[in-house]
Amino acid sequence: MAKKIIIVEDEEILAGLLYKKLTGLGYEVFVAVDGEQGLQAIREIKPNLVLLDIVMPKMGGFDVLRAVRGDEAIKNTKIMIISNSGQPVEIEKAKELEVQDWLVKTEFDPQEVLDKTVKLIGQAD
Amino acid sequence: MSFWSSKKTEQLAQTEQDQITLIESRFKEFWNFLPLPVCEINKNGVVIDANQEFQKITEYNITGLRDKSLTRFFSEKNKIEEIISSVFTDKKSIKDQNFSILNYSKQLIPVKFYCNFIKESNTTLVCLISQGSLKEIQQGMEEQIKLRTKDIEESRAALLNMLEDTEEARARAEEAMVKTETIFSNFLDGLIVFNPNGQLELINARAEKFLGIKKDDYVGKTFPILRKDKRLKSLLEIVGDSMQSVFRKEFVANSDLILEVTSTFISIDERKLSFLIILHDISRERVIEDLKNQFVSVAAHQLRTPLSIIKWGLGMFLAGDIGKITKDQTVLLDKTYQTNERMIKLVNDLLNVSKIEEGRYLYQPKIVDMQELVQQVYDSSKEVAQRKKVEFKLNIKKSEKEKIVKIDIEKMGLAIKNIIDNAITYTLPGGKIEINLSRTGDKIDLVIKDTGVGIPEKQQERVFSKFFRAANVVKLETDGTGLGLFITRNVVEAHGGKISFKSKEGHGTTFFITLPATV
Repeated sequence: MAKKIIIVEDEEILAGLLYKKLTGLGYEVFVAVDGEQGLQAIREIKPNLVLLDIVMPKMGGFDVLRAVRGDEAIKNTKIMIISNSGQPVEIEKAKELEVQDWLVKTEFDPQEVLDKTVKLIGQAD
Repeated sequence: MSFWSSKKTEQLAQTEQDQITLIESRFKEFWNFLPLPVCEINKNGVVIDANQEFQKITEYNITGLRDKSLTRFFSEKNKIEEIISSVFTDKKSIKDQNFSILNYSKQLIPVKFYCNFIKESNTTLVCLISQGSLKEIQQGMEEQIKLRTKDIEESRAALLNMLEDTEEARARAEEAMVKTETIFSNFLDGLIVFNPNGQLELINARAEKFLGIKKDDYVGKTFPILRKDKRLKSLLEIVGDSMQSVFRKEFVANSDLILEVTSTFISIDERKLSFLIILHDISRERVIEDLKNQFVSVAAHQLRTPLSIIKWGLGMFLAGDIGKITKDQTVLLDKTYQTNERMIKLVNDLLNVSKIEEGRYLYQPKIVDMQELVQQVYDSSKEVAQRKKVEFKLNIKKSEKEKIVKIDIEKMGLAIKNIIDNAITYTLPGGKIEINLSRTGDKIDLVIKDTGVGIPEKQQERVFSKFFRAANVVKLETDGTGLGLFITRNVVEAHGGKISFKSKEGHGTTFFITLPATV
């Protein structure tokens, strides 16, 4: 069975791009458009990996992160945050909340996403 | 003592005759020497002798005078007769009578008439003082008095003028003083003046307000004493341990007041120096600067997301994720992608700059071997240099101690990369770039040398300014933010290092970076 990835990203185009890339490698990909939806999806689907945006409406990335780490059922979910600026302050905060890796939106290219995904959870199946 | 007795000074004649001869000759000499007209008359009023002066004034010689009646030579004949007879009768003298001589030329000459009866010879001596000469003397004196008076009056006038001028000058000086005082007390900057003896002399109203003090409590005190005063302590600490020049140093007086402090010595007419402190209110400037900075920061952040999206969209096209694309399409898409990359770089630079301005730039310095960092940056730029056909060398000089520094790796890497990027961009194909890293004592030296287009001499001092790009490279490479060196210098100096360069237009540029070694 294909590994499951949830993308929590309010930016349509970016979400679309990531979706395409990951699906292309064979993963089963879900997209949530805000933090609230994302948290719900994580609880229901229990994915192998979550790509989590930080700045989102309704519930921000860090709030989701805290909720996930505080929830017994899902606290060990692998999460890779998508930081907008790559600000060291942000990265530090994310590390404290035990993220597995991070992407900086303005600097990475889609290949990096794939490489990091594979590194974290292995191939799609 | 009579005239006659002066013969004592001479040798006495042997015989009485000699004596008489001597007396006579002496008398004759005196008679003719005397500058007053004198004559001798007998009891009949006839002239028996007259001296040279008498002859002169009457214009008769002795022959024309002797045996003539005295009255002949005077205008007031009756009066003369009267006097003569009274003198002989009473055997006395007459003094100070005004008569007029009637001379040969029939001129009237006013004289003062004196005569004296001489018992021994029963004659009378007549002496005259020419009124003319008296008058002359009088006139002469009057002239002199007039001149003197004129002199005095002129002096007086001159003194009055001087007094007026002095008054005028004083009035002007006072006016100037009042003007200066007015300017000083109303000046919008705070002003504090110390006199040449180092004592506080003047504080204007604005300075009092800024510092929350009243000048009367502080005038007369010296700098060292004021430096311990609790209200002035922090301000004077900015100036230093003693009075010295500082230029636009920031002083936070309180949460609402930020001042720029400048101090300098001022000399007046080469005399001893007064010391002036100027306090300039930049609170508003600071607020505006902060707002501007926030704006840049926010704007840059907001720009990043759309730029990233464009980046991936184009990336996906180029990667063929949306379907195969033709060669022409690839070319156009690639150009668009590269342009977007430049936009992203600019936005990043702006963000860096705004962080520098805020002072939030360096993050977490770590202890690293500079060698590794330089190697890394070098490796990442090798390909670009190769493509441009520019020789690109890295020389790391072996040193006894490792080149250990405590730096923010990301920022320092960026700083070095900016210089290397410039070297590659502004060196034409066939040129050469050399990077040298060495350690001397506790200093780490990084030298980046190129044979590129160089920096024109007139523009060299602006090279580190924000947004500055030299004229000769704007045409060569139209892109370029002008922020690279600004950021680099800030990073280097924030780490306690130094950066400088040597450049000659058309020959090349060499940058020198020095950093303190940590261990």
